[in-house]
Amino acid sequence: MTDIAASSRLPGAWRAGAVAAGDPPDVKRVLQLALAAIWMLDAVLQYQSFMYSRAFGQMLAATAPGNPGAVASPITWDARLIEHHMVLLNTVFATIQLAIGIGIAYRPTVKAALAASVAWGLGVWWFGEGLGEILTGGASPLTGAPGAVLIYALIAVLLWPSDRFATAPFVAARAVGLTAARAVWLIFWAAMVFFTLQSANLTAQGLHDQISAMASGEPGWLASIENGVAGAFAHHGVTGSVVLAIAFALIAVGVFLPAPAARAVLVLALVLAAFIWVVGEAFGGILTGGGTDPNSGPLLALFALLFWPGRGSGRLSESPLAAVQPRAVPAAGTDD
Amino acid sequence: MGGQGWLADILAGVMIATTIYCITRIVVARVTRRPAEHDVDAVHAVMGVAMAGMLVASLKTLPADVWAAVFAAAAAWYAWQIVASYQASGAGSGQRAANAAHRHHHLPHLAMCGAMVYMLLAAPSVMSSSNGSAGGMGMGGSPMGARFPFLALVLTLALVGFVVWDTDRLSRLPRLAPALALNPRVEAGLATARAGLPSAAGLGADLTEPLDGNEDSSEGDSGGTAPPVMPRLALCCQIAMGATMAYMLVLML
Repeated sequence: MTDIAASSRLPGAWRAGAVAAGDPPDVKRVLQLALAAIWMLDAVLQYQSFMYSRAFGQMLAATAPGNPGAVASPITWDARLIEHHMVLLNTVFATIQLAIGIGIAYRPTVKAALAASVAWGLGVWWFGEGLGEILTGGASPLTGAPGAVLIYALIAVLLWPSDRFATAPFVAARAVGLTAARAVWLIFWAAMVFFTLQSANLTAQGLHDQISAMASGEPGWLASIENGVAGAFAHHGVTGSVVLAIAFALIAVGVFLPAPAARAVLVLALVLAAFIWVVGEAFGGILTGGGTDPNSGPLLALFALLFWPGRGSGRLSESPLAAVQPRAVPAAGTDD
Repeated sequence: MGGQGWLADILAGVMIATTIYCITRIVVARVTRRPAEHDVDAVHAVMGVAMAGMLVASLKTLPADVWAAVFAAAAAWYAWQIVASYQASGAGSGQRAANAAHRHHHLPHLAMCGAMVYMLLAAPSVMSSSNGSAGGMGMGGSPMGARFPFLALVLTLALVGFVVWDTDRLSRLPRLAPALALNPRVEAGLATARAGLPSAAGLGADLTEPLDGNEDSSEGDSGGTAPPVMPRLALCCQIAMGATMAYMLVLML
């Protein structure tokens, strides 16, 4: 029995909503909702008491050193402003993030929210993350470079509710086209290779120090993991960074490969995202009570899922999210 | 880690409003003989009172252990509903789809009850030491920390996921037929019909059968075809409750 046939049996006033309310969204919408969930988690974390203390402003100010003056000065000014008006400004920040999350989840406002998330993400990337330290020479993809909020913005663009290229082989290309989506992917992961091979990360103790530093303030079990993995990288920092860079390079070209090989590479990307989130970022420091966001790990995973190749046009049944929802209907606000 | 007192006050106010709404919904549904989800409304009403007391100490009504027992019982009820949907007779694809609709409906409520039990049991010392100026669980300003913080993180992620999912459902909920997405029987009927069962009884029966709280068909002649009581607002309350609970869990990290 089709949906239409099924709904035709409903009493009149109930009929209109049967399909709309009962049908699950397609894979693009599910990915939009995942992005909304990360924004909401970000917002909830922003309401923590730590963010209402001077420590938050000081944390922002700490991203300024090493950046060029034109970049650093606004960060310092912004951090000082937040220290002086921390209750008001932090509440505004948290509420904006909450509005973005709710806005993406609520279909009528999805476009406005995605657009706002791009603008907000780029602003926070500068004023809150010091451009992910990419200009300081100390950026490390293992600890979040080139910046979580930059990935928020990238994903928002790729998840724009337009299906101009509805037959694209993966969701990321449905709004911007295959070439543009692949270019975004290639540039992003090539940048990850570049940052990994910077001199700051090519030292014998580089990876060890980065990972062991994350253990501070974490629960015992997580600190044990951090210290254990850090110990494994002790004096092997160069080898570890080179292996990581090779993996990133493989991922960068993965979307140009045939679908089966691309899927294998995307699985590698998902595994690396999990490794980065747990080991390199300690879940974004959330368990310390001072994490401002979940950091880049979950976003890298979401970014990879956007490129999961399907046989058709990114239908849910052909993606790893098929287990979440069994059917497909057009995404929210799609233009088609 | 404690929260902001003013924020705790606001959220406590929202929770009280949610409680009032849920009670109103139960009464209106009973008086007007319209369909509603009485088990969900009752649990939400109680949950609102408990959460308000956890946020603001002066609103605390019962000891944490009592509340924990209440929500453990509610969690067991929802867990049983989910298990029952797995064990339901009929192995056809239509029945499986119908049961899946039941499970999807009860899962958020199970998670919320589980989160309440966790919050009440994981930080009992903080609760007992709270005073009038601080939150019931220290959420109004005193520092707090809980046992098993990773569980708090997992529950937070689950609740945020359900809040986002519910918000999406809210926007897909037509004003004329809102109950379809709220009531498991209707969802089950639709799922059964979609799966192509030869009999249309599943769908038709679900829609004409009285819903929770109106089990006795002699009670109301409107039956299941009457519009339910304020279903969009009910979903909004669930969203507000889930978001508030996620905030409270984050404070326990």
